[in-house]
Amino acid sequence: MNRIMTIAAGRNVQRAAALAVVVCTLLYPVLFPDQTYMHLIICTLGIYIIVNTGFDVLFGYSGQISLGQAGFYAIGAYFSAIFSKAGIPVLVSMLLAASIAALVGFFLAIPCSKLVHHFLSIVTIGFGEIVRLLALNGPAKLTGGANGIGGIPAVSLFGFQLTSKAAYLYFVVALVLLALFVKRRIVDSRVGRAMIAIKCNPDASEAFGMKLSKYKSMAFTTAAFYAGIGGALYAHLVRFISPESFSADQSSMFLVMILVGGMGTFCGPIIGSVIIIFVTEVLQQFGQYQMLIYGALIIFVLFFMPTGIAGTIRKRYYHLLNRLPVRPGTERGKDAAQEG
Amino acid sequence: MELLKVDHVTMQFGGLKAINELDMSIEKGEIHGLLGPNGSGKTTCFNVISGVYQPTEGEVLLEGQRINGRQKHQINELGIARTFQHISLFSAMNVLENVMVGQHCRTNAGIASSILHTRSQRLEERRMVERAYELLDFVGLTKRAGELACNLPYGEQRLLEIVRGLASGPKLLMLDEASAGMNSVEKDNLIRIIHAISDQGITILMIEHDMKLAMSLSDQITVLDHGTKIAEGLPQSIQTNPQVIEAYLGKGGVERAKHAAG
Repeated sequence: MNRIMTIAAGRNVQRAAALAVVVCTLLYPVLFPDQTYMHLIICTLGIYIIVNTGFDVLFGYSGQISLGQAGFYAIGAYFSAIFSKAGIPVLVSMLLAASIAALVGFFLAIPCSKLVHHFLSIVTIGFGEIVRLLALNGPAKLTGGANGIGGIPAVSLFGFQLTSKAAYLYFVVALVLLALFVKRRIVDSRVGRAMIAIKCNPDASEAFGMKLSKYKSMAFTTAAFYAGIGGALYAHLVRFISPESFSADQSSMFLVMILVGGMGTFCGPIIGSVIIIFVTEVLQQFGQYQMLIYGALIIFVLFFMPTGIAGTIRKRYYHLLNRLPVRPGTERGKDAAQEG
Repeated sequence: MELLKVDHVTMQFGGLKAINELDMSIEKGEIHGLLGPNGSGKTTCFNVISGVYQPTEGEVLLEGQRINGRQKHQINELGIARTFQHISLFSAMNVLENVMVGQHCRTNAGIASSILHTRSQRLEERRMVERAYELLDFVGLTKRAGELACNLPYGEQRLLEIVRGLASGPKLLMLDEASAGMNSVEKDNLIRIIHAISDQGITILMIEHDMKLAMSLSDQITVLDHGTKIAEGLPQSIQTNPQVIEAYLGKGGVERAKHAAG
């Protein structure tokens, strides 16, 4: 195992593996053009990875639990549907919808940044329910009530309508890569370090110049934006949305994905999303026992790997996986300095 | 010149006066020891200065500027850094990152410039890394840079707390029992480090239970007992002050101390 990890810790090995995964995903619709159900699953997976990647900034890095991510997800979906049906170009409406989700996240963070643990979970559960009930009971002309919104336009990119799931898959993959890239840069910076520090020790963080509410709300806003983008992507993928897609079950599913995958890691949200989607699909055949097995599996994983899969690996092999920034002035540092 | 002035500060928790009308003045560049038996209000005093508690009465002035009433992160930015009696490192981060987080108040990169990797962000990041390594060199923790803070031996965790404090570029560094849990070799090393910090012109206020260490390092000493200042002055005068001996050894302690010395 140690030898495998030494190889896996190599930067080029990791790059090659990531490239292989991306290439395989992109080739899939070309090699299997008929399996549209799988295309749909991969698109959904991509959307969940985006939502969870943002959620991880909030939960894994800054240490704030949210059981209302489906609320932001719904805001993204509903606003993008409403805007695009009103004639705004789909890409613009997606971006607008995600920005609205982020704004809501920012305002929600004002009370939330003063709360911790179960108090915070209760507020976020409440938030998720409020959004769902607004969609259900709000002005029927806008949200369609229980019937939801149908006939949502497809994404059009450079004049191409992404009506097929295969075409949409490419769009989703591109956004997943962008989402992961941006998250990497956020967490691997002064801001990200402040978030981790606050999670580790809020008192010491404050004594070292960090304003807790600032970084907590930054994390909330980021997670809300990611969830908003995910929701908008979902709306234009399925092209029909209704309140039942945004229930508390959806929120807890996001949480479970992060917990199983490993919070506060790069790969955790990806691994978690893949596993949970895979398990749900496989469990379909067990009918009414589905949730029983699902629950047992989660308890099993969290009992043996309380920090999730990626978290456990990271903890065990920290010395191999952790990369220190090169010291300026040293040989390796000089090369880096010239690059910069 | 006076760097920090604690002016008539009272800190009351319900019926308990943890600090009672404390006056204390710390000169620029000195090493000031804060002594007293357990529960005498030393850490409370640190907490008042660093903004954890708002004093019930009185003022805390840094270079003539009132700092009580400000938030903790602002006080750090104004130039006060501290270590904690109970080690409070960022345990899930490595040693280098802990020092980099310490530089938070002296750096500015925001979320947008971090995502875009702007030129100023990259330069700042590089300066932070460079400075962090310099500081680790200073206390001899460079070889530990990549280890998780929680995996360091106790003595080194104490040193890391000091370096993290230094990283914020303080005018006043407050050490809360920096030598607790250290062996004699580590203590000698600590004395060397505290002298070196002082030589850089940083003023030090330290709570210390190791009398030998406190007496040999301090330029000035303030002694608290039950929240009240009972003595102040040079180490030699403190050692022979009957009130101090009484506070530590109880009534009759003076006689016994004389007997033991004689």
